[in-house]
Amino acid sequence: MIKITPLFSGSKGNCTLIQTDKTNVLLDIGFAFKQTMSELTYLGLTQKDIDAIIITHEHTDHIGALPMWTKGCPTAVYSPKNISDYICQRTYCSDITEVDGDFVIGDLAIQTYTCFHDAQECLGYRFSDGHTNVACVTDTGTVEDKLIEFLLPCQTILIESNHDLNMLKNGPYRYSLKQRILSDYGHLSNEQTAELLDKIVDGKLKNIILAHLSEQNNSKEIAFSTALKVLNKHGITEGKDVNIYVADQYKNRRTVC
Amino acid sequence: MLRPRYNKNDLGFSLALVVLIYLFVALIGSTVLQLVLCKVNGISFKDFAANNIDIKTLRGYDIGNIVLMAVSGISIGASAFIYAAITKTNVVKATTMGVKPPIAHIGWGVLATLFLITMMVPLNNWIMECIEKLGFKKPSVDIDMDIVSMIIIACVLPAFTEEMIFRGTIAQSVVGNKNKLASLATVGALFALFHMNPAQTVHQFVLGAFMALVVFRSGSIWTSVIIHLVNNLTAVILSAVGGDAFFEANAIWLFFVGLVGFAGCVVGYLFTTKSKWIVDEEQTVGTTASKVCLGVSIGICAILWVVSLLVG
Ligand SMILES: [Zn+2]
Ligand SMILES: [Zn+2]
Repeated sequence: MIKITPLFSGSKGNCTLIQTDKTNVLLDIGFAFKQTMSELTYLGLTQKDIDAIIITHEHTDHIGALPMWTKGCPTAVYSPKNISDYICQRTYCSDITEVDGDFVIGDLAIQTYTCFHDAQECLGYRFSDGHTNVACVTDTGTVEDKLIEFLLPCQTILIESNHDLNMLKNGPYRYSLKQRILSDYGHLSNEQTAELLDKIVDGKLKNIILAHLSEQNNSKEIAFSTALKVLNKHGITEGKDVNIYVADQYKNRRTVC
Repeated sequence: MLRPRYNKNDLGFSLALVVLIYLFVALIGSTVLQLVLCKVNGISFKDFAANNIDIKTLRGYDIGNIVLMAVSGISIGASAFIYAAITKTNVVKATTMGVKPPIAHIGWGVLATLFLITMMVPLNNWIMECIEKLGFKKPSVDIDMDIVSMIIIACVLPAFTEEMIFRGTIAQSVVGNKNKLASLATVGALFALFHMNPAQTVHQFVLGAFMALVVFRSGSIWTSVIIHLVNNLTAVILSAVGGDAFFEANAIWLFFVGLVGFAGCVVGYLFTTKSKWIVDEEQTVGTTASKVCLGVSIGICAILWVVSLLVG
């Protein structure tokens, strides 16, 4: 069984804990180091218990605490191939493995999905222990068939639901920033995520974690209700057939499995 | 795999474009001017080149020079529109041309600019003296033109065209950077370098960075267009009314009045006005292609800067 615990999720920083009985992996380490440590301590983990840190892409909200972490502990780092040099410059005494295709950490088999994002390379990951599949995909601007196929075998998905289109359009962001977020290489809106869920909720899906919400241009309520509408449309009961959890930027303390 | 990028401004590409267009127009323009003036004056281009004739002595030079300066000025502004067209960006929104400038930002900006000139005229004179003492020719900013053409070609036109590309396009590519001081310094440095004139470098750097600050905080390009215009007009008026002598006589205290006044205005501006400057949540790392464009453009400008220092 794979357990997934979003520690921090949002534009200010992202970090997700993926666990099996034998393996502990952090997906991204983009929130403040101190807070990350205190959340891990709460879960009864120390730095040494983490077997690997897997990086999705090089934006600060995903690697912000990497220098601090690797300063104190040489945890193995897995980085997309095209950004490994960049990650290397921000890492102390850790081995960096270039991710270029499927790989294995402990009892986790991991597959990748290439996101549409304005980074040198951005990956989504799917974790499998032979029984369950868990996928985490954030920081992508496009819903495509490949993404649907990637998520279909999963019982649990952590998926981006970044912004509400109306809030973004009327919000205070300047033009270039709005264009960036709205572009095919930006972030998934609530509406896009709903479109995606519409295609996969009839499958094996049990848990939906909505993640990487924008603080300025979204609210938990709007993100939740947009996803809920899709479940209702398919006659699926939230809380019984499928659970929706909206990840918080600062505090979650909720493990999904 | 090279993937298409979103329409956000890119520092390297936008700078490379304006440098390329500007140099191209300057090169073609001056060649065309020479050919035309030779024709008008009935001398062959061969004789003109062989006998080292001073182009300024040819009939029609004045008007030709005005046209050339106007065309190169326009080409600088055009590069902003060309960049927007290439990147399929809405130029009005991207350059913040559609935003009404807030009065308080204009007020503080203009006042600060006047103090900055007061400080920079003596400082520029000292710098020029130093350059002369080091054995180089004294750099100059003299433009021989009648006052009306001067105001239109050297004041009003650049105030608009340079702002469109420098604050409206190039600066917009760094506005999201986390390190705000570095963003301002980048805009100031590129602006100063682009002018390729050692006599003006320090002033252009501070002014360029300050105008970026005002554009970022006010959210409107028109604040810096107005500041730029006031700066240019003041410089022209000062030289027209013979302000040089006054500045030379009072250099030291004018410098300090300007310095204190400018610093005071910046502080006053920061504390009494509301800022629209939003830093990106995600910091992007530029592509290699963009970095190469940036490096090459800076290199070309730097070489021309040195050439202008050596030639005077
Ligand atoms: Zn990102
Ligand atoms: Zn992100």
